[in-house]
Amino acid sequence: MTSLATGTASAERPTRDLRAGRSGGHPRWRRLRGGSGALLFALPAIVIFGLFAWYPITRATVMSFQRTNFVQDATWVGWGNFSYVLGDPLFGTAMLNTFYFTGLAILIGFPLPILLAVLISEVRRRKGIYTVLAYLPGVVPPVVAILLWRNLYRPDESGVLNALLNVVGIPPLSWLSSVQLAMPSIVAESIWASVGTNVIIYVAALTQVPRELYEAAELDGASILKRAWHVTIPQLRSVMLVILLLQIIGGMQVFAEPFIFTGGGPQNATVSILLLIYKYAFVNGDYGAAAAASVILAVILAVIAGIYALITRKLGNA
Amino acid sequence: MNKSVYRLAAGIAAASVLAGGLAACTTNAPEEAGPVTLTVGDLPPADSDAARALFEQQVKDFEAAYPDINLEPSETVYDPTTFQAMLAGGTLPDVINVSNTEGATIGSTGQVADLTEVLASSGLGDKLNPVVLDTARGADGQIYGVPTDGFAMGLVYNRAIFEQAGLDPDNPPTTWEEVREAAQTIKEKTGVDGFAHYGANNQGGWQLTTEIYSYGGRVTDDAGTKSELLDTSAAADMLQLLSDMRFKDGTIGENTVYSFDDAGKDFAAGKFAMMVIFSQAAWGALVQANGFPGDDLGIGALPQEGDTANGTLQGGAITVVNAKTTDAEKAAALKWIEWRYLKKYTDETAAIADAQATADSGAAVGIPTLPILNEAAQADYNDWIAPYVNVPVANFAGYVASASVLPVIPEPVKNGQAIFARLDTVVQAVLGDPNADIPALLKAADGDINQLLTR
Repeated sequence: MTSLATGTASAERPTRDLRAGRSGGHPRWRRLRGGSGALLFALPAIVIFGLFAWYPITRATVMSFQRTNFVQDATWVGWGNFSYVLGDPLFGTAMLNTFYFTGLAILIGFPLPILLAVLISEVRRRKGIYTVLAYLPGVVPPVVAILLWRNLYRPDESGVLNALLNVVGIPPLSWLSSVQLAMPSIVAESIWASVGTNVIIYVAALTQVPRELYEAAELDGASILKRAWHVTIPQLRSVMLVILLLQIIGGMQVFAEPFIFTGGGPQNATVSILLLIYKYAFVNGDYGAAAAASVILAVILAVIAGIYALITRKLGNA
Repeated sequence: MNKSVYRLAAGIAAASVLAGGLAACTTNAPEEAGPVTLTVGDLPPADSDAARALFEQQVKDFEAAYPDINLEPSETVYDPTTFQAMLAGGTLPDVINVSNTEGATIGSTGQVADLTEVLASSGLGDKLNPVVLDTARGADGQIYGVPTDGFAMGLVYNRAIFEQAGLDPDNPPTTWEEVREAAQTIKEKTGVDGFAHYGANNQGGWQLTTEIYSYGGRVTDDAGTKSELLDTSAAADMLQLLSDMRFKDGTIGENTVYSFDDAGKDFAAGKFAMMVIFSQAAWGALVQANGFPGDDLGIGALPQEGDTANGTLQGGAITVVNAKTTDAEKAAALKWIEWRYLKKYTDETAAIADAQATADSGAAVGIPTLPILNEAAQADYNDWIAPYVNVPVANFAGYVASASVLPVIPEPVKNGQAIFARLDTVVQAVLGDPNADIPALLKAADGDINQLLTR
């Protein structure tokens, strides 16, 4: 009873303070003044965001309905750009390639860092060395990494991979020149480049998993696999879901790898949506088509994000 | 109280900085009534002292000769990825030099000034070599730039490998059949690939277009309204030859997505012996960029189908003028272009100054080019610069001799890059698959090119 009374008394105090504060001026004016001050402080961010994010987004959306050369006045073409892009056989190819890239990249690139992070966290000595080793590829600038990998993939025996195959008597493979191998080759580099960052995130997340859970599972006689399944994965779930979404979006926006490795070849086997958009804009000078393709990609990504949100909400409720 | 003063002051400061920034963004230079001011691009960067000094001297002399024209030099050079943004933002120089592959594209989109009238009224148009002037013509027949360099595609070869293989480096192959035989000999005697073909970055389609010309074919009609890929057997014949060289003879390597950059590195490293490129690019990419010994570089005529001189594809550079310039500015721009790029063909002092500065900057002097003005002016110019020539001109004899024999044909006038991109995939398919169905590939490409030409 006493404690309850104390609680009530302390709860009243802030209310009184608040009233005292308000008594300094008209309550509505006070609120407004606080708002405009906050607005002033937010203004730089709003203006910068507006100029460099919202304005280009709006402009690109408008441009997707126009034909423009930036010199003469733009002409409205209705859905013309969209029908051109959707009718371009290359767009379908690029779409399938992009899904193929994303699918392959996630199939291997999603579980791999979890596995590596679990292994690293199981190591008892010099854990830092392994973390650094895993992260090193992330330190190499992407373009440099791709140029290095191109030397691995050279189609004759001067390529590192073919030289290795040669040692075991396998004839050289034309990694980037083969319609079948080009995409998996690109995916391999992309996984190598991105795995380190995700390992770091998972290693950090693993340190948050209470050791008692493992100890309790061990006492119950759970094997390593069972401990991973019943303790590690549920504890990492939220981090895993975020990384999955980032990997999907990153995969759908792949550009540098096909641009530098193959230019989209051979026979368009590695043309991605973003590479196609780049070609529309900077090779063909067709900004309307490029903007329309960008809008289509944005819609697809929004749909994927929506589905993702639905699924994660369901999982969260489960 | 203090807090709110601080808050207000900070807010005002932030707002005024932003307002200032916005005002700076939207302020336009006032219209000038009297003298004309032009921004001129391509000022050589500070690390090439001699070339930069020459440019600055030319600006000074030009302004003295034309007191009504003020020049503002800028280091901006043409880059397709920034061109559009600079154009839209109004920061593009009024005069800029463009590789003519791009010139045709931006000309046909109306993004640079139409110079047809001002070229006629100034008299400059009559001085220019009409064949080279065609490279600056858009699909509508109008002229969108002034050609300042003209090249034709030729056969570039490694003279040292030719000697090793027992071939005569002074007599490079001049027909495709001879190319095939030379490639076989080279492969047999030295083990390196005889020939390489680009397959990426639209360069595969660019090279195939060149080769189609050499077989007497065309990719589109002159007006750029329809595909002519199937009108002759040129494309099919050339692709069959490539397939045979790749799969029957083994004289073309396995890389089907060769870019010019990669091919240049591999050529310089002696990994193959022959490639198709134009003279200036050969020297720049092979010798200057990749350290290939200049004395081993041979440039011959573009091989032809049989003994007929069918033709070769033109390359080079054109100088374009910003579409937003006034007529007075256009006229002034032409005067500057003539002063900077063409005076050397009619004025010995200008020729020598240019050759000396080019040589001092470490660039090549004496690379054979197509005559920009006319044969006589070109011959005079060649005499004037003779003491400064720093390339083994004798190694280019085949190429020079072909210049007066081989017709030079411009690139497709409309959507050239998109067409080249489409043809890249044809080259990749033929070089990647021994059973590629060439007629079917060409039929599909023909349909797609017609589709592209309607856009």
